[in-house]
This record gives sequence, structure tokens and C-alpha cells, in this order.
Amino acid sequence: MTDAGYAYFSISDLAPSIESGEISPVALVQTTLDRIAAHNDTLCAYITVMTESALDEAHQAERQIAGGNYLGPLHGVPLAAKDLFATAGVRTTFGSPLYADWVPDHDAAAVERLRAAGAVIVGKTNLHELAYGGTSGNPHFGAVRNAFDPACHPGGSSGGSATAVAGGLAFGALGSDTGASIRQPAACCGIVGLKPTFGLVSKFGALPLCWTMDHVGPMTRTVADAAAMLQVLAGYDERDETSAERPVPDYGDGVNRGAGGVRIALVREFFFADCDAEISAAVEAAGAVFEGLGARVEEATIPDVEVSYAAGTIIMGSEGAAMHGADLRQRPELFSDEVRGLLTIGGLYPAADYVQAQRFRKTFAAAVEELFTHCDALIMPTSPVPATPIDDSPPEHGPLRYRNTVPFDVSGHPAISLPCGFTAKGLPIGLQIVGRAFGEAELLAIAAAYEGATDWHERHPKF
Amino acid sequence: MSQDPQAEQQAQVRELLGRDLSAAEIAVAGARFPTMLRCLSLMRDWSARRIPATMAPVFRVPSKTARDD
Repeated sequence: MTDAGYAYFSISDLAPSIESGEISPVALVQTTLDRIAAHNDTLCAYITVMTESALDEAHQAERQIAGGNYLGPLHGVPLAAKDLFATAGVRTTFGSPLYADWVPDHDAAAVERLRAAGAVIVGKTNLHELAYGGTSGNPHFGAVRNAFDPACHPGGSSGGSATAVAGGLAFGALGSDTGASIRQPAACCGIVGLKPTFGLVSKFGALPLCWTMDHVGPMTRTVADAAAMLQVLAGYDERDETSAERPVPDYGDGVNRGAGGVRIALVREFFFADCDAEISAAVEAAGAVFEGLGARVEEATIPDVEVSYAAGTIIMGSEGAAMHGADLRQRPELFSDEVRGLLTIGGLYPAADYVQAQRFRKTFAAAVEELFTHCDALIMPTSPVPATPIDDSPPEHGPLRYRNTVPFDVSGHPAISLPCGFTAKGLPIGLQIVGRAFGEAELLAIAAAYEGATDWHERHPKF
Repeated sequence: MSQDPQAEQQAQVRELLGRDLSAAEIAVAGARFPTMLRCLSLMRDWSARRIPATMAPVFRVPSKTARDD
């Protein structure tokens, strides 16, 4: 992109200049809106652009900061929200005609918290229909395109958020992740995506695909920015039945700690099967980077990891069918063939298998946590396959796009994807790092150490 | 002698779901059908080697008593 200006600055780089008054939130928001106006027709990243309210919020932020009431690193920063987070007075479509006219009277908890921290929400990002799919090829609101190659998909389901952040149309965004939907699009778009521990971030006001596996998290261009967003998003919310009541640590505390002495487990079994050769090589190279940083890298296996893929698929399908079953019966024409097929399959899983899949989760989560008595983090490819052309996406990629990520939606462990290379065709590759339950501070520190030793995150789309 | 793939698939469906699927159900399931069958097989295999009394974390009584809903 040639009109980038501040567009690719990190939140952490911008914040001191916003606090000092050197950078105006109004100018920053206007620049972001200008970039959206210039590039959204190509990228299809946003469903709704909130021009008027964004400028109002920017003026308010500018007044507060000038008056000495600086709220922190998100104050005055233009962010985006996936269009399944309720926004008061602004339609929230879920990427589906079913919700095309739904205008909530409240903000989702995640939006509420970002606004309370002074962030400016510039728009609602496009997504895979009903957040159920990995390409964001939305037939109702347009196929989202990858900022690194607009002929290719950006991953999904939070594809609009990933493209907006990668393309400099927002400085960070909210995503949701049930099987892959924060991490896989982050990998496809060369950005950072963090799926926090289940229960750490409130899901209140986020339209559900799967009540027991949905997670809310940040999508940013750097690990430090993910830490800054998580700092605001994390914490107990009594409106979310699954919310965890526990103290929130300082997530930015360890981002300069390094990785010396850290024990990394490279998990080849299952996660490297059917993996694109360039992706395997990039993740193996990431292991070598950690060794160069003084970490100890060993191989590990995860017991019953293939069953976790099955359990996740059954739970997602069954709960998706429960969530949308009535509409599927009464208004089937409002679903795409693809999502109608997925939900129909979901309705075929026997109840007994759904119950067994939920029972499996308890033992699997314990087995994953047990691994952390021997190591501090697990690493593997985020996705075994890269983004592919929208018009020529291999059908066999469907089950692979969420294969490496869904185990940690099943177990609930925190997992982050960050850029670790590019294919020969110039498409990003993602490294997934998994940490202890509620161990986001340590996970972010390990991810930041890798990021600090590489320059993948400094490569931005050019068009 | 090679088996008819469709008959083989229906036999697997009968074993896993306890009934035959209609051609319409198979058509709408499309390319995802093999994944569904694989997932059910894996889940059944895991179930077969579990002790049935293991606690199922599907439901818990709310821990707070002062709820108004």
C-alpha cells in the first residue's frame, strides 16, 4: 500500500505519541476511515463502517487526553469488531440474512470494555456466514479477500478482522474462535491472533456458534498489542455463565523477558501430518529460533489429540444445529448451501455422542495441562495449509483448516498464532504456541521473544 | 471382488447412526460426510475404552444462590 502513513504503526508505538498530543485521535481515525474507503471495495473487510460515531468518539478521546484524562494505550486508537459482537444502535449481522436487520440496544462486553478504555470502534468486520467456516467467503456480504493477495481467501471465520488488521484498515480487532476462527485467519493474514483460556474474556453479547467452545480474543499486528488488548478484555463478567472469576495479571509484564531457559515442546505427531512442506519447514525453523534464544526444544505428543478433533467437530456441529435449528427448518433459503450442509450434519450427530464428546473434554483438558509439568509451551503449525485462491480452494482443505487449532478450543487452553514465514507465493505462515490454562502472561512473553528475534511481523501487504 | 462404495458407506452409517440416511441427507452433507463418519468412529472408539462412571462435566448447579433468574 502506498498511502500507509501511520497505518502500520503498532498500538504500542502509537500510544506514547497519542498521550503526548503529538498524534491526534481525530486525524488517526480520519486516516483509517480514508483507508477503509479506499480499499474496502477490494478487500470486503467491513460490513458496516461507523464513520459518524467513530469521529464523535475520536473527538471525545482528543478532549479527554487534552484535559489530562489519558485512559491507557488503547485511548484514541481505531479498532474493529467482528460483526457478531453486539453494538448498541448499529446493526449486527452475524454475516447472515437472518440477522441483517438486527440492531442491538446494547454493546457486547468486549466492545463495552474496549470503549471504556477509550478505543474508537471504526466498524464491524465481515466474517464467514454465522462464524461457521474457514474462508470468510461470505455469499451474502461478499467474499473477504486476503490483503497479501486479494485473489486468495483470508481464512476464517474472523477473516474481515484479520484482513482489516493486516491491511492497515484498523490497528487491532476483536475476533471469536470456536475451532480456528481467530488463529487460522491470523495465520493466513500474517498477524497475531490470541485465543485466550476459556472463561477469561466475557462472551456476553457475542452471537454464539457453540456455547461451550466459543472464545473471544484480540487480533493485532504485534504480540505487545495483543497483550494491551487482552489487558482490557480479560476479567470476570457475571453476565457470562462461563466467565472465570480470577485475578487479571499484567499481560505486558513479560514481553521483554526473552525465552532463555524456557522449555518448548515441538508437537510433530498429528499436527505435521498432511502439512504443506513450506509450513513444516517454517515451523521447524521457528524451533531453531527458540533454541538460538536459549530455550530448550524437545518433541512431545498429546494423548488422544485425534479424538479431540472428533469431539470438537461433534460439539460444534451439534450446538450449531441447536442454535440455528429453528431457522434451518423455517427459513432454509436464508442459509448458503455450505452452511446449511454443515448445520444439517450437525443435527445428525446422536445425542449420546455429543455427551461423550463433552465427557472427553474433561480428561483431554487434564492431559494437556499435565504436559505443562514438563514444558512451558507447545508449538506447532497454526494451520497445515496456507490461504488458497478463492475460486480454486481444494475441497480437502476444509477439514484441515481447523484441525490444528480445534484441540485447544476443546481443552480450553490459551493459544496464539503469530507470523513465522511466507510461502514462495508470498502468503503468510502462522506458528501456534499453546500455554498453560490462564497462563496468558507467560504465553505472550514466549511469543514476544520469538517475534523480537524475527522480522516476519514487519512485512505488510503492498498494493 | 470390490465392494460398492455407496453400499459400504451406508453400512457404516447404519452401524454408527442406527439407520440409513436418505439420498437427500447424503447430498446435503456433501464432501463433509466422510469427516462426520470418521469423527463418530473416533468418538465411539474412545467411549469403548472409558470407565462409564467418569464424571461428565455437562451440567453443574450454579454456585451463587442469590440469583434472580
